[in-house]
Amino acid sequence: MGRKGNLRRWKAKRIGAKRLRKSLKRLRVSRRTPETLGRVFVSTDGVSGIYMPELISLSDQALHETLAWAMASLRSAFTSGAREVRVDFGYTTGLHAEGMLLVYAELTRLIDAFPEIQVSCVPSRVAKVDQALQHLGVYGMLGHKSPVAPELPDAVNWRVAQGANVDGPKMGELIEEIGRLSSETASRLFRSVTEAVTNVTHHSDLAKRLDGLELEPTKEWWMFCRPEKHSLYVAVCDLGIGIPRSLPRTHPEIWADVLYRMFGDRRMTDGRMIKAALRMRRTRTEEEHRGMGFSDITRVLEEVDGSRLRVYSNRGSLQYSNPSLMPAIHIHNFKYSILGTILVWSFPFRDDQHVR
Amino acid sequence: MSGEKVVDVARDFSRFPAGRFKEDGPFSGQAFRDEVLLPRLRQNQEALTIELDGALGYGSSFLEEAFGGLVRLCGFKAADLLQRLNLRSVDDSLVREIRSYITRAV
Repeated sequence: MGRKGNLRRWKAKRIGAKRLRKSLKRLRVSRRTPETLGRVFVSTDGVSGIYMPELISLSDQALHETLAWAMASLRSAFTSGAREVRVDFGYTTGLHAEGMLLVYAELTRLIDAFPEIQVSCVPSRVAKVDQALQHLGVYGMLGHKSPVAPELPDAVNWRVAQGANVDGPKMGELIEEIGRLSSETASRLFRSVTEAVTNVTHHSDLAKRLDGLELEPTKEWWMFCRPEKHSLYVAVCDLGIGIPRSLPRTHPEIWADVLYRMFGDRRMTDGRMIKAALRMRRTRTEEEHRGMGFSDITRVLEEVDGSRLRVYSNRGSLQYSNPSLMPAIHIHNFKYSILGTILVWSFPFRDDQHVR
Repeated sequence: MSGEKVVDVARDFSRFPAGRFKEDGPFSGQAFRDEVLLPRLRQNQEALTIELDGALGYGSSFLEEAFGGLVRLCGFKAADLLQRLNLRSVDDSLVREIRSYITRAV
């Protein structure tokens, strides 16, 4: 009895410690992103709004959760019956390419879908964010006439393109504008980006996006390039059904077996589904000659030293690095879905390899 | 342009070829095959040089539809096509890739 009692006390202590760790983690998260961020506010004069997160990014669990929630709030603000939707960047102090691309894509889509709703915004108080939002045309999209003239490198380095089909010239010219890539790297990047967008157009009509808006599926894509001092980030986004939902539809006979071979069971998580999709290189689709796009998306990583790919799709993400950097693929699963897919390639600038 | 035995993809089609089908976009593999390759190949039975350098890059969907499609859909035999097409690029892997799409197309 004594030994059993000790065991019970020991187990209770362990459970208590686990709960304490969780509470502390929650506290840390709440310190970083106040409760109000990512939430809808409704004012008395028919304005429905959204406080944008402090750091607009998907790069970790807490940031992903906050931004995915913010996007859900943004969609509900547009469908709340309000006459005006206000997007408040007042707390925003930082932007990451993948997070900002999601915000940009979602805003474009909602403003196009609800032309009768007036939009407005509260600008950021941080100069580099303020200038980047002005430079990207986000303020213009939200009807905010800002006097700010972007001049900081952090702001003016952003490049944006969008389209509704596989528009090679749009994507190619954006890559060429960067100007610091070797012709081989630019060529491989063009190949990856165009194949990613080709996949989007081929899968766009598989099903509707589960955002409750009942909009017709589109082939729209958005693309950001952000050259920094030592590296280049290129991100492509679509607001379609996402890889985890498209995989069972595009590979109905083999996807479950692929999961089993890779993980030892057929349990579906979005992270696993992304990994399975990226590993399905040149496997059989219903037509033998199709289903090659994913191999192009990852091939650039094998060919450019130090490059990295991060895929965010619905509730999952996957990070795939060039073997010389870190010989591993990491998958993550998140609480909320971003209801779409974002691919982010990053390449280090190296004078011997990347300068034209 | 007609009568020339060289197709320069960047000059005669686009510097930014992308996509598989015509509905994907303006410079797709299907458009390249139907509008550029097929007329030249059917004009005469001679060899045709394809100059691949000059375009920014080529996705596999574009290449498979353009070159593999000649065998799958247009009645060309893989062996004949491999003999007639002179694929020119500084990137040997690109030439090998196109040849593999032609060989594997059924």
